[in-house]
Amino acid sequence: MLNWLKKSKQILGMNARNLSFVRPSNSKRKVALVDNKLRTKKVLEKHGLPVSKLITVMATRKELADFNWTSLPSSFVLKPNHGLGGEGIVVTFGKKKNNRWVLPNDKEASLADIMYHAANILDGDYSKSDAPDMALFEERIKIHPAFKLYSYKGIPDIRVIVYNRVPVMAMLRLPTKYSRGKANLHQGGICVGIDVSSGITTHAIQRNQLIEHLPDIKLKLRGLKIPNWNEILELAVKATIACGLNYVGVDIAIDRDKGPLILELNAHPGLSIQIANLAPLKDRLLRVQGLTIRTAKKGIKVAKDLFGGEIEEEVEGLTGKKILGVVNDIKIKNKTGEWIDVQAKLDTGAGITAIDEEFARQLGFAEAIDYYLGFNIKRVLTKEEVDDLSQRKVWQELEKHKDIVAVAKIYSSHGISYRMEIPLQIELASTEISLNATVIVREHLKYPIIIGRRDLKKFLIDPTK
Amino acid sequence: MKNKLPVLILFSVFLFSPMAALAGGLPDYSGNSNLISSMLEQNISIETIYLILAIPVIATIIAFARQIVGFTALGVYIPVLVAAAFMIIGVEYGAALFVFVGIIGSIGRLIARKIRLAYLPRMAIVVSLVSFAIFGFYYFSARFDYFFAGSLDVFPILVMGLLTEKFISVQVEQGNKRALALFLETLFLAIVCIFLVNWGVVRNFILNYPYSVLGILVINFIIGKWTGLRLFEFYRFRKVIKHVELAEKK
Repeated sequence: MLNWLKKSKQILGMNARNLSFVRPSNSKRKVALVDNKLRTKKVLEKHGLPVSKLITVMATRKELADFNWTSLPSSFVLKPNHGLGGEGIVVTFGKKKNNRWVLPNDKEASLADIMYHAANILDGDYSKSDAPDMALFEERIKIHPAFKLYSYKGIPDIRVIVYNRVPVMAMLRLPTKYSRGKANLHQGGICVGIDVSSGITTHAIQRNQLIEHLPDIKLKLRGLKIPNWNEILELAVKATIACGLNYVGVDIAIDRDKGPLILELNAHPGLSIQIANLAPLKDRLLRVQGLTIRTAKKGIKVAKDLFGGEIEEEVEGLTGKKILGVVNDIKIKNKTGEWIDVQAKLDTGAGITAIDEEFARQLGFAEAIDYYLGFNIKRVLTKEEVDDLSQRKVWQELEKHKDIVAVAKIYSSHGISYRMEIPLQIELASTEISLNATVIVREHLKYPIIIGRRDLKKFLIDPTK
Repeated sequence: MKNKLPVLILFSVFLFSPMAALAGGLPDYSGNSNLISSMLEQNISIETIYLILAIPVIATIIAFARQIVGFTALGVYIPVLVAAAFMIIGVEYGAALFVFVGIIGSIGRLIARKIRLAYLPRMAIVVSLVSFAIFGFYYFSARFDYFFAGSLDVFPILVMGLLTEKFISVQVEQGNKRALALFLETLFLAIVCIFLVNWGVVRNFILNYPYSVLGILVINFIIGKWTGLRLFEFYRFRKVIKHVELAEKK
């Protein structure tokens, strides 16, 4: 129970969000700026950040009446300038022959419907305390192919929470049938947590319940790689710098042609992102608080170092195998029993581990190597030559030396080699492994030892690491 | 830990002092307070005095329910007004009127939505409908002697009108489901407030020690500084809490 309470302290609640993070970080003036979608768009554009293109803005009924409605494209988004939580947004997907626009859920809208909706926006139907508002017409973003299967008639967007210029947490929001093509959470959209360092999705929720698959089509929601991930993080951080807020949720959508575009900033980002990531936000915020971060690049690096690796841990948990990069620092025991530090390459293209001849000498295998060289075996052999060596049972002679435990025929693109194998003790990723390595001249290569498949069974290799 | 202790102390004082008063055998207003006594002498009814003194208490309960428990309700002011209205017309009729007004308001909104009108006239139609409905409500209840025939207090009616407007604007802004949840939360909170405020112990304590109401400012100050999780948030984030990994002490 006590432990449970201690754990709960790392969760960000509404009170702490408002009192400890939103209020000290965001000045009233800047909050007013991001609540105004039009002004935010202009500020972002001034800073050279990509935003969705504005078709027109209406502030008064006169402007509504004067607008050349025939110039409205077949696909657009109509939204209130001061809208709350996605209400009042109309998305059209195209125009039918009967001159009516197609809406999500197979509904249609006539020009009169659109004008009426715009008039309602002007009257303040969707703004806070019914204050008169402006109606924005924007170009509709075209869906990125990576998301096509995952979203129901709408554009998914990515919410990144940025605090102190560090992107601390992120999620992908998918519109569903129930959210009527909008990606907002409380309207029945799906929310998928994203591992900040890799941009790969982790857990998913719909209406605050964890789900594994997309409803209806049973598509797995985990493991989706978000395209342009680094660019998205960079845009999010730069947007917060441009707007002068220190704790904010940045919404970004990816256009098929234009790439990531900033949709809007939210000075009071919701807390459900913690459920989608199954990770506590307050803990992350406190770890980032007070750091001096000047550039977006630095902020992203900090985030990746601090909060990444969730996917990796999960894979390790599932498979029981550790994930390693291609090049690793390892230790090798020499014949006098000392551990020598060296860099090794993990090579899944090689079956057997190979060690450089000169390096093997240093480890104390000089005698065995000289014994092998005494047989005058060529470095590269032809098929016939190898068959000849096998028939003469040269390997039996070679294995008479106590350090030569086996003999291997290695086939490569250069030809075939007939190599001796020596026993080695190495330590890779803090696991001790006993292995046999073939000895070959590797002087022109960067790493004195490559570790092959036979000795990598306990690991997974991630070439991006 | 350091900011929780004063909260606990204050709440226990807040909760136990009326009980202590009761243990001392306090009857209904016992003439303990000069302030109240002098007001009564000037023919101000004790119900009015108590209504005014109870409003800060109700407001504090609402603030507590929002900040510490996690109710949302329709703001702070609306539940306070609704509770005050309930105090005047009684909680049973109040609740019935509340639900009735909500239903009429929603129906009115659906009808008004069909005919295309600008927002404000549409809202005016809805509020008028509610007014007519309340009129009918009073008419029939007076006619069949269901309750206080004749005492048609203006305040509860105004409150119900205000409630309708807020309820409908939330329907538009945040969707019907959310609006219904907020509406019911408001009703629930108002009823809880009424039961607390009408509780003899609390009532006697406040009337006999009217200055104790000032202590409410301190309580609200503490509630306002509270940054811990709300009670409902423990439930909402239960799965996240389960997944939290505590840093191991080195």
